[in-house]
Amino acid sequence: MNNISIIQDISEVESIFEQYFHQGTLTNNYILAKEYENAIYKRLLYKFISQENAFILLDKGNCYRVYYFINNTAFYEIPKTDKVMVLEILYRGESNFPEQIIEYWNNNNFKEHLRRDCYFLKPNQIVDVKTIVDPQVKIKLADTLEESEYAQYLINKYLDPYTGDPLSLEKLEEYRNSGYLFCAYFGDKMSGILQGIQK
Amino acid sequence: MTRKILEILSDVRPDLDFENEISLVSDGSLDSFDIVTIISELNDAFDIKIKVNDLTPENFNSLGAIKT
Repeated sequence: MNNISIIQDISEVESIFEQYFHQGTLTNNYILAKEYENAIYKRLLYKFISQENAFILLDKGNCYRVYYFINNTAFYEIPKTDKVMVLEILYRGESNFPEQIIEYWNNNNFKEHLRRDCYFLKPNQIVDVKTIVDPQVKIKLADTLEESEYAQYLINKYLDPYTGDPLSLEKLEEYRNSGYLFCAYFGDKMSGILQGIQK
Repeated sequence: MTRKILEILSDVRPDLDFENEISLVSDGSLDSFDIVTIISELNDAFDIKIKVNDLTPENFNSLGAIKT
């Protein structure tokens, strides 16, 4: 049984910020303004308030992504939902290891699902480019429905179901038609995809 | 205040040149996690109220935009 309530207007998020996001708040919230607006419009955003703590939940279909604003780690009441809850605890550098918030969620029976590093490289920072030439490898813009279907198969097979963002065939077709989907072939066999995002 | 803000930004991302860069978000140097981290640190330092409307990429493209 859910104890969360749907967020119908951005003012409700403003209210959470006003009351629960201040000096010393432990939070993993990194949703930007436009994303809040989109989620509210699609009726995918929920909230749960418990004394000094607040939670925003984003419905991802198979789970809720939880964004927390914790001001009192001694208080353990958290949302109750009918789907899996997933949250990310982000930090940069070992000196910022978030021991306190990890303990808080462990005490609420959350278990570590996966841990990952993020690597980043800007084009002007590339120091050397090695080209591997194999005549059997070909990379091309995707231009068939079959290639979009293959892309969907790969994404569904290899992306984590809770933290990845699975794409519908319709969305992949949009990427294909916009020139943002590439397909790799080894010989005549499809062997990989590259999906770009326009920003 | 500018010096304090620069200190905070450099603590969050010591690899970035906040004094001279003007496309920090546009060119991908700062991501949404950085934005929220910066806001949290500024909040801790200056006890400012964070509004949802503050969370836009344009507000973090440069030191000048952040100060505003």
